[in-house]
Amino acid sequence: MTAARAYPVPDGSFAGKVILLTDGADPVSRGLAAAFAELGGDVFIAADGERAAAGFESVGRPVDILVNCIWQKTLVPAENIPLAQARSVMSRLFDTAFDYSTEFARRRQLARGGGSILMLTEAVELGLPGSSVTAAASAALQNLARSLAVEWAEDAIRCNVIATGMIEGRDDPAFELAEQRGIHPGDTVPLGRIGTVDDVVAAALYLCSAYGVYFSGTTVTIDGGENLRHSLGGPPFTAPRTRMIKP
Amino acid sequence: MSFSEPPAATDPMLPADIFAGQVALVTGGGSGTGLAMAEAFARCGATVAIAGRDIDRLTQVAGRLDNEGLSALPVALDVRHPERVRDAFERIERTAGPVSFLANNAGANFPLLAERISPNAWRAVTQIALDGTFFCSQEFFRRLDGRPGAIVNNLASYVWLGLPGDAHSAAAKAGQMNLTLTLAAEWARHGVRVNGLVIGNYPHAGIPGFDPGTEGPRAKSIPAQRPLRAQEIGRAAAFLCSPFARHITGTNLILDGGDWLRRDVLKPEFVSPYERENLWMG
Repeated sequence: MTAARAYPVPDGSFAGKVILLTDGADPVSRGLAAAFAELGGDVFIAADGERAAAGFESVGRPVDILVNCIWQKTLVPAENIPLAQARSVMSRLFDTAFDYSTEFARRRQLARGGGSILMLTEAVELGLPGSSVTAAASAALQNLARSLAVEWAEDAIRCNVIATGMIEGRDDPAFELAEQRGIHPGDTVPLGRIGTVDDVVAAALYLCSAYGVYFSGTTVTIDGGENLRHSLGGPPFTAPRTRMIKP
Repeated sequence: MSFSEPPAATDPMLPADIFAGQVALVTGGGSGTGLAMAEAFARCGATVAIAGRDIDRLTQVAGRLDNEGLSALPVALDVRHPERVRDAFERIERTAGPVSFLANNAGANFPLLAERISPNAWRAVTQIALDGTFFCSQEFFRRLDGRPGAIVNNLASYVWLGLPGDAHSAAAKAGQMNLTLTLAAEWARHGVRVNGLVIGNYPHAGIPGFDPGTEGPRAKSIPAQRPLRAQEIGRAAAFLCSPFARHITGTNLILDGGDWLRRDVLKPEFVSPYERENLWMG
């Protein structure tokens, strides 16, 4: 990079801002927390499984930016996912984001101070065979963000999404599959590499900063072109269930 | 409550030297969205070639940018002609050096019901937007000769939704959007990224009904309750071309204050395009 600066936005861009993240464990969540803090923000991380009302109470100060960043991706044929497990994944990914976003909006509406919501999801425009429930939750969040962007525009609450492909450091089942097949994950991506935490952080900072104030209802896809693998050839089709991780 | 105003154009967001020593070509760079992009590239250190059909205006604009300490080069170009595109790249290379960023912004647009679009009007609009984007992108890529580069295409949300009264431009831009995807995939391994910037309401001279003293007739119909500002367009284009977007290709970045998402469970009564006072504002 020609820039000495690590981030697309200048130092102090989040000075005086309170940022609440719904997760602090995923590498992207950790990268975001560090970046917001380095740029002057006060970062809080919600306790795992805590409901939004309690989460906002424990921050104890008005929150300006909410980042729904819980990440979970499993590789299981849909017919092998018990309903209770599907519900649990949907609940963790979708319900948590809905709970935190609506609580955030209620509070920001009272404060009349505007705000910014960011949702981190997988890039799932074409579905994701083998990871169907995660994909459905991501699609639900992307669609939710579009409705919320308009419902809450009057309150100057913006709502945007980042949709990612494989990100270095995540516990992505794709990496174990790649190892079993003896290929490098980056070789499957048109740009020749997988995404990094920095790639996601850069876009997130832009969207949530004063510079990104006209973005709302937008999904930024960061996948190195993974979704552009359309071709008229490719290996012979086999059922995704035959291409799972070998025990 | 309207969305807050962005920082002033003089604050480029990105480091002011991030494009230092590099050349950006912006077609349709003499006014409107193209000028907004050109200015942002220049404020990030690039030498910006502003291309268009009105060389007098371009020279004037380049002079203004020069006066602000920015580096601009006016280039006469009608993007519909591949040989002129080639010549323009040749001239820019000789004067400023090889081009690293291309903003395909040249366009023409005017409200007309489909049945009233003459063959010449149809060709003018589609050839500038679609043929021009293709010829410029092709020439850009050939001349990169292995160097990395980035393209940003100026799009609008009617690529997905259509727009009564805008059949020519909507179809051409839909083609540009699709071209974005194919070129992104073809050129990814050459380190060339191709993205679309889907721009919302930006009142400027050349838009029907533009009145410089107002926010424009549409501002209050946008969820953001204000139009897009020039520096917001410029920053988004610069971000997409910057190393901070190194993993973003083949995407369409929507910058419209929620404008295209205005749906309702029940909308106001539909007015036929044939009965509208203002064709684009049904």
